[in-house]
Amino acid sequence: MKELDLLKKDWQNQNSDSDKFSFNDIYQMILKKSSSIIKWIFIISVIEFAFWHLLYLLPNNNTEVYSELEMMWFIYTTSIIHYIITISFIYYFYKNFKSISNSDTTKTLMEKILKTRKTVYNYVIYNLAAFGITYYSTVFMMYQKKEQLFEIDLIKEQLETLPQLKEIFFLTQSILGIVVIFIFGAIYFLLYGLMLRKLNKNYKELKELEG
Amino acid sequence: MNKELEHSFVSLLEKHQNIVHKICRIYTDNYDSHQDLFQEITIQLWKAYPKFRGDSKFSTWMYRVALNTAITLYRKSKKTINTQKIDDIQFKIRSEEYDETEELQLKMMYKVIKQLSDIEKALVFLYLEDKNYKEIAETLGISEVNSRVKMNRVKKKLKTLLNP
Repeated sequence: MKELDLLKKDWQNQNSDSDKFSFNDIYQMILKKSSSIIKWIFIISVIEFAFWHLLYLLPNNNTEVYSELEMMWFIYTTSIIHYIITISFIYYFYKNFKSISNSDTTKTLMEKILKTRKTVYNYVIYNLAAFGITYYSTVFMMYQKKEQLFEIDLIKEQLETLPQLKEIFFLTQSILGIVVIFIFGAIYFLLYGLMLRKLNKNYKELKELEG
Repeated sequence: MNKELEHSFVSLLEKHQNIVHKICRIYTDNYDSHQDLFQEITIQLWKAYPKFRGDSKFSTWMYRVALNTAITLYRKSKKTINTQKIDDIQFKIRSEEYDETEELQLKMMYKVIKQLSDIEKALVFLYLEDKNYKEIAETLGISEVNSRVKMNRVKKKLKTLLNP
């Protein structure tokens, strides 16, 4: 291709002094902070890990209800399992994150970044699933003990101000669970997709060559 | 990191900065983006420098880190405003004998290269830098055969873009 050969000749003669940075310019640059995707992956992943735990800090009176319904054993057991799984996820995330090196080949670098994000992706999937399972198990257990539930002071007070709630109590709880899972899931997948769109596209292009 | 390391790194980069400028020229299309990408590549090179063992040439190592930054790690800064087009300020004919046809062909080549994907740009860049297929393969992490196949496809694509 003669145009490319012509360009190659021109390209190799390029040595523009007008662009050149001085020693001091370059020195100043190394003192600045990076705005690379790796930094953002770390920040966003930490937020995602922390987010689910921050939710527990929201004020709620559920403990009283669980205690009255003798469901605390279930809450404790699921919490312990949940923390063990979360710690494992954080460990794998950290291990994968540390393995990212900008001097790897382009393909390996992409694979390591995608693997790191995949850990967080799986963590969010796990959280959505775990939330769904524990939430609906709790609602089911409450349903089995509904007579007892409606006698608890806290629920009684709510039912007195809104008596219609009794009829649709479990239906409202069930719909609420679906809405929460849907909203968090949608926000997350949008964020994940947008952040890695360029990387996924480039990785796919390299992978296609092997196909 | 100590002053000696900083000094040796900055000196080496100052000497080889042309490579980074060329990458910026292929991946950006305005002056601000060029500066922005140059800075990010510098930071990434500096971060990786303590692990640079010197068993390859500094310039060879630079190709990999700089291309990785341009293809994968760089996030376009929001504050980057499209100002002067890079083609206008950086395109120069270096041949002593001015040839209008050649100048036009070169301008067209620069224009169509901008339309390539990030990976295709990397291949063209390494090809223009006179890297062989083995070196291209080692930089991108693909096989030598695949880098040859891909480069042939890129050449075909460039031809089509030049003669639609």
